[in-house]
Amino acid sequence: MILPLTRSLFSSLTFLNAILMKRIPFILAILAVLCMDAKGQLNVDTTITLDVLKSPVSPAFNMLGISTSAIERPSDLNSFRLSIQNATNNLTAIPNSYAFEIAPFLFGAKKYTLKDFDSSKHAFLQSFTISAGFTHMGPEGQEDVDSLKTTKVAIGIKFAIIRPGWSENTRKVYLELIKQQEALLNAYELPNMYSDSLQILKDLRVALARDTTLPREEKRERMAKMVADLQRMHNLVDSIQQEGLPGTEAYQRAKAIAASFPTERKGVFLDFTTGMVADFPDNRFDNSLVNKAGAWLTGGYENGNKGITSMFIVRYLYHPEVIFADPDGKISADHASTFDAGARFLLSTLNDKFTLSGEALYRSVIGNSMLDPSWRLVLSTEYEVAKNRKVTFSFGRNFDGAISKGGNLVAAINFIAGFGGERKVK
Amino acid sequence: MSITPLKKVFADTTGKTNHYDEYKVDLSDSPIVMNLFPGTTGQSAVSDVIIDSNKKGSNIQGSITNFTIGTGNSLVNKFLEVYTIITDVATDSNLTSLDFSLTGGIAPYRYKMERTVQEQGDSAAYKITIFFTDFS
Repeated sequence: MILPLTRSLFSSLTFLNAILMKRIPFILAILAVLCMDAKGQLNVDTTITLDVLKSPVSPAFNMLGISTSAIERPSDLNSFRLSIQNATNNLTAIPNSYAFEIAPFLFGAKKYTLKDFDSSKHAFLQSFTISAGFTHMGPEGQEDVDSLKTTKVAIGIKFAIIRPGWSENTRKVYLELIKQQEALLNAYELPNMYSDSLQILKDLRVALARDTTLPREEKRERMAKMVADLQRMHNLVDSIQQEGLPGTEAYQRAKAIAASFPTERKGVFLDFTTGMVADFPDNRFDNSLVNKAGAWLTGGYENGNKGITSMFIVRYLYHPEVIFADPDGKISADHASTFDAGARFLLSTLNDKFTLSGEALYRSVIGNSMLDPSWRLVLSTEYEVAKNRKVTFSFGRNFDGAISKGGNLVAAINFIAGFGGERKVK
Repeated sequence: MSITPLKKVFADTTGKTNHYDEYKVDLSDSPIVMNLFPGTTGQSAVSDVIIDSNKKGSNIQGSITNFTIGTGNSLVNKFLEVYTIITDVATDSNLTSLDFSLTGGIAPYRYKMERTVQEQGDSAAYKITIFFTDFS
């Protein structure tokens, strides 16, 4: 009785053992991938640091230290005038600080409709913004002490030199919106209802103009009355024409599209940003000095979140807050000029399962022999083997010249190599 | 098709969207030129231009610039109708507007209208009617 049981147990164990022997390398490899990524990523910092070079949204204010909530952003000349009137108490007082950001080329009568944003043609005029501001206050903590107040004026400009057109997806959505608007236009016109009335009105108007029996003054009065009557009639007809529009399918479809219109762009882009702060130490306009200045050139290739995306930034700063090339603060930032550059690329393919990204940074202080220029390079790759399971590999060179590598792929390869035989993989 | 009560539809909308006027032209061959700028910046617009029930321009996207609609001679005692649908796509404002102008007649003519729509994505329908009269 015991013997068959033992035999059965033994055969079960043999079977289990065979399965385990077959599966162990695979299970261990998976465990290695899942458990050892923390160990593998010890060395390489894959954090994207190109952002430290990026151009500020409003260059003048960033350098002047004005908070973005205090910035006036008038969208037309009238609101700009009102903003200045409010800030100066109807032009009777000078405020302690005032800052504005305007897009002067969007102030004019010519408005840019949605389709005008699908090209580089109007990119400069549409994107051109001027930011300016001034402060008249004492140093930090003593802002209101009159004897210590100095004036600082900042000005910045920003514009796109090259802007890519919309992506295929955005254009498709736009054409669908136009299709719905065309349907809405047809519904609004109701031509048959109106053309007969127009003919009657026209005949009346022409007859009145040709009537030679009426005195000139009376004729003019009748014409004016007819125009007023026609305006009233138009209001009435228009009300009827408009009434049904929101209930139409075209209206609701257009609304759904417009409410979440995607603005993806695809192609080469190039933006320029610059700004400077002038200091008036004794509050006289004939005595000023440039306190801070900066210029940013940002370019690259935008690909609507798919495929290769790359970007580069070149930055010049005069008297920066922090010298990027001098994290230890060895030299004074006063009158220092720095030149920094960076580039980043991202390749996403196989339905976003495989991504390869790289980043390079260069930093230097112009005209300084204490600090040599230094550079940093990071390459990183990821492959999604299953949902929430990724194989990663990264390689980098730091500013100090140290080479490092990391990622769970390195750990997995090392582990598998050790398990399978004597061959060592580094 | 269900009809939404007019009062409810435009409860929170503001502004005028239709206009009628006369425009004096002389009986010559000088061209009458129309400009139409739908706004505000970033909104999507489609327009039809009709002269006495005949379409002169159909489903024109965006703004209409330097559009010759005829000569003074050919337009006198005729109606110009311009229909425009403006859909609110710009996220920073619910304001739609129309800036219409004519040149080539006795004096330049310009008229502006605007309407704030209730919600993001809503559309406003604009209509301008001009009757051309001769200067006599």
